[in-house]
Amino acid sequence: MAGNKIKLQSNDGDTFDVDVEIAKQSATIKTMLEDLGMSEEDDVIPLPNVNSAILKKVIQWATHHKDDPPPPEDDENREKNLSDISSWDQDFLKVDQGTLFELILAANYLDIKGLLDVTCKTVANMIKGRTPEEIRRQFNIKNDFTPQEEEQIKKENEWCEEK
Amino acid sequence: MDTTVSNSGNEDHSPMLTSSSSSSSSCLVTYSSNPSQKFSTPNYEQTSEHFLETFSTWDDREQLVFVENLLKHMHSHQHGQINTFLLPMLQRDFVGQLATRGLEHIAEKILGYLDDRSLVSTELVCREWYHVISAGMLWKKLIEGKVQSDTLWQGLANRRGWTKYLFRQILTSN
Repeated sequence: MAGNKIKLQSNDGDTFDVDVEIAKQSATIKTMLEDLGMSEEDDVIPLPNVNSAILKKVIQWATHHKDDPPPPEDDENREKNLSDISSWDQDFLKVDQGTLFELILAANYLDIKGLLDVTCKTVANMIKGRTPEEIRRQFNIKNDFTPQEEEQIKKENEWCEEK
Repeated sequence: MDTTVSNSGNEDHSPMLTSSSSSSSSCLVTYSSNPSQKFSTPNYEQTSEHFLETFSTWDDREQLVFVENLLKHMHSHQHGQINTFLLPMLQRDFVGQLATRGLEHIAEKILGYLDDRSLVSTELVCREWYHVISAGMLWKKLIEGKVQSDTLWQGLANRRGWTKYLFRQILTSN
């Protein structure tokens, strides 16, 4: 089994040789290989939604996590979920927001649950504990509420304001 | 990996790295300046367009090395101006842009990691975020999480009859 490789092709035409077992962390690719009976030897699997730079990152992530057990279901403890990011993943995800966004899209398209979990947690950590204005500045978002609407929402949430 | 940055199917990329469109107003040099302003160099628009055409034929690394050199040839007050249009290019409204692409479930997944206090803040960010939180019933899910994991909440929910409001819809929607 070891040593079997497949070729993955990005939407800008680059081809990557990847161990089958590493590539199968993507449920999308696993399905292509097993259910659709694509042969591993000479076929190239085109990935029209992923560019070369992102595919390279995804393969790097999957290679590092190749011996991981399947990702656990999220705990009901949200605090625990958010802090549960390995230091390797934290370093790996020290990227600009554009790259992080594309990694989320790729993890979703390729159906790699572990990568989707950790990228979404990273974004949640960028939101956690911040004021609305800080969140807007963090992500360059314009406040499009009318003052009346804003007042209304604040009123709805008055119960949890600290006095 | 050397590839030409042709921006295949990605409209979110920075205009700086995109092969320029026919309009010269989107090119690097004039990006932040007033389009009605006259340029002192004769044939400026033609020349810059021609240059951008060449630039777009280079691969990733070549473009980066070139831009780095270009920046070194500029003054620090220009660097400051570049910074003001570069920074927003590096930012993403994750929740809003995911929802726009029909990926609300991922936006909900992100916000679903937040505690009650942070969820209060996110409702006030903008309309789109508010909409994602209410459409995804994220408050309900947060309370359900508490009822499932915390015996105090569980007791309250049972004794006061909240349970019938909480889990029924989740079961039918799954």
